Amino acid sequence: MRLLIAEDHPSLARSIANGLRQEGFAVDLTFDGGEALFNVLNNPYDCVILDVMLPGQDGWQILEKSRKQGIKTPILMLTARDALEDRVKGLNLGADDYLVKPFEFDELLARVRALMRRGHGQASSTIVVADMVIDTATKTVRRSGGAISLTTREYVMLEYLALRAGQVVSRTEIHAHIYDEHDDPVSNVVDVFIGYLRTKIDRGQSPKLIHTRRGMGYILSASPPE
Amino acid sequence: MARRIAIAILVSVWLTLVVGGATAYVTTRSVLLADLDSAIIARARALPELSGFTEAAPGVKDSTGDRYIIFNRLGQTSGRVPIRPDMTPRPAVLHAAFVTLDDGARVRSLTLRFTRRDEAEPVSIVYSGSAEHFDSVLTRLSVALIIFGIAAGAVAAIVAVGVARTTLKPLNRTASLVAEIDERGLDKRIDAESLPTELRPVAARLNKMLDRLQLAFEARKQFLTQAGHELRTPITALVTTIQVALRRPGSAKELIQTLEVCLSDSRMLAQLVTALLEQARSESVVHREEPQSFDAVQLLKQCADVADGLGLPRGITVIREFRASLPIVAEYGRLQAIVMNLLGNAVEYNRPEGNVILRAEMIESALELSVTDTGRGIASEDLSRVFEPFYRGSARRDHEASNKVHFGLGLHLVDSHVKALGGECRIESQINSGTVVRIRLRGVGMPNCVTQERI
Repeated sequence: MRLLIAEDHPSLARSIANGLRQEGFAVDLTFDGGEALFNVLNNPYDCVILDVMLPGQDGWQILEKSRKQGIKTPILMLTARDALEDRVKGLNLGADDYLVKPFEFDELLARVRALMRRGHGQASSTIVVADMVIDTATKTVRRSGGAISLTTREYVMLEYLALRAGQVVSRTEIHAHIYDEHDDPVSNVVDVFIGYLRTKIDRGQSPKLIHTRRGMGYILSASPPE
Repeated sequence: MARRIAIAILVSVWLTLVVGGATAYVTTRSVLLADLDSAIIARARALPELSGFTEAAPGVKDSTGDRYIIFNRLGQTSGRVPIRPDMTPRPAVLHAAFVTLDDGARVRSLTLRFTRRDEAEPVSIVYSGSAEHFDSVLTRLSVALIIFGIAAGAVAAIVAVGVARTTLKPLNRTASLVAEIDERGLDKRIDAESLPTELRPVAARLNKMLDRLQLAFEARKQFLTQAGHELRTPITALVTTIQVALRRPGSAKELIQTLEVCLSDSRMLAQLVTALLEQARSESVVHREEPQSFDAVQLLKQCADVADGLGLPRGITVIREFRASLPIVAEYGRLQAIVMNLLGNAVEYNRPEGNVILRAEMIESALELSVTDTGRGIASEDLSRVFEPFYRGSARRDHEASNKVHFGLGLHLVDSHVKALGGECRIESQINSGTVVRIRLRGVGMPNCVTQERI
């Protein structure tokens, strides 16, 4: 899952980014409003954390312009202003959530996760595909055969595929959502990790969940595609 | 105050009543007395034989009850004295008195001396006439005056109190309205229409003052709110950094790094708080400096030296353009804060090997200062807002590397100091070329000072 953080206070921005990366998210960071707008319009994010007071374009402008351009990415506004009219303004302009500084990091994390789930049409924190249950809160995976242990990267990739369950996801898409802008775009790494996942998720299990669609990508589904 | 007005009205009315009544009484009495005396004298002269008539005196009224004793020169009483027609028309009044007789009647007793043109002996007559009429008239008059006086006094009292109260009612209303106006109710105004005409200008001025107060309070509230918001972000940075570090502590090296970041952020917070306090102090009425007379050039040189030190690492120098001496009378601390702030900014936002020009001159009795830098300049859309508190425009956290973070308070502080000195502040800038801040302080020139025009 890939996030954009647009916050002009350097150490705050970095600590949020660090915290989220620890949780396995890919994080892009920007300190400037103009850059933030460009990123939102041009990169696929699963969630955007947007500070209201940014140099260049402020948070409201970025919010408005993104929504006008049809960007449906969930956006969480971050601000020191707690007045009612500011929160209402944010929500009316198209923000999905609004968090006032100072905040607890745990709360930020939980809200971000909730936004991402909602963004993918996922209401609860568990994703169920056939007999596989992914608990996104605890980051655990079970199949009827028992708990499955995954590395952070593997989990993140599985979670993304599961959120897009039943849809074909291209390698590029997977890469864009798992890796941030600083990682080398070596597309092979996606195949490698899909291989690891297959071993852990599908070997010795039925039904097989991870399928390849030649020339198009991968799909996580209980029933194999035609 | 109502009491004073009422008492003043009452005292003057009562005094008038008393004095008037007394005057009326005294005047009436003396008139009546004169009348009584002349009536008695007339009756005395009308006595038979004395007036020259042999019959009883014609047309003399009220003679009943009169008594008289006739004395000759030797003090002997006598019955009658034959008189001659040239008897004195106007007898001398030797003695006049009111006497109460044994039977309780009051009489007016005059001792009259009749003399004749010839050397015949003078005659004294003690003639007493009834004072009853006189007394009764005066008594009636006194009673009437007293009753009238009391009634009038009572009415005056009621009117005085009434007038005092009604006149002061709008004032009292205004006073209680003003008492209600405090920090929370600054939007109330005095209704000038309900006040008497004389007080309307006062009410109008009070309202204007309330307008200014309200604006000042709003500005202060806004500043406080903004300051609060400004403080939240650096505090959040500390909290979040520490929280994230605590979730996965990592190695000692990473923890040390985290601590260093937190330390740096804490220092910036401290600087922000200092800047806020400086701002508050500049506006505080309590901290009022006394203007002193000093040579501005000393101050300018001092600040320029400090600025030179700040600019040394990046090769920035301060060029000084002012005369050898500029004597002024002003608040030293404020001027120092202004110049130091402007020079500090000019050095901070300058390019390496750039320069800062500090100019000062006296024009009439105004001090004109300007600080020019060769920095990156300020965008025109920001230029009009640079004096707002916390406004940073596009030049926000670009100076991460430098020690001082721009809080957006420097120019606001300069502006408020300049305003406190009764001056004005102007700024011009061109992107990539530089910025000039001009300060004009009116009326600081020393009186009777001859400025050195030609050096």
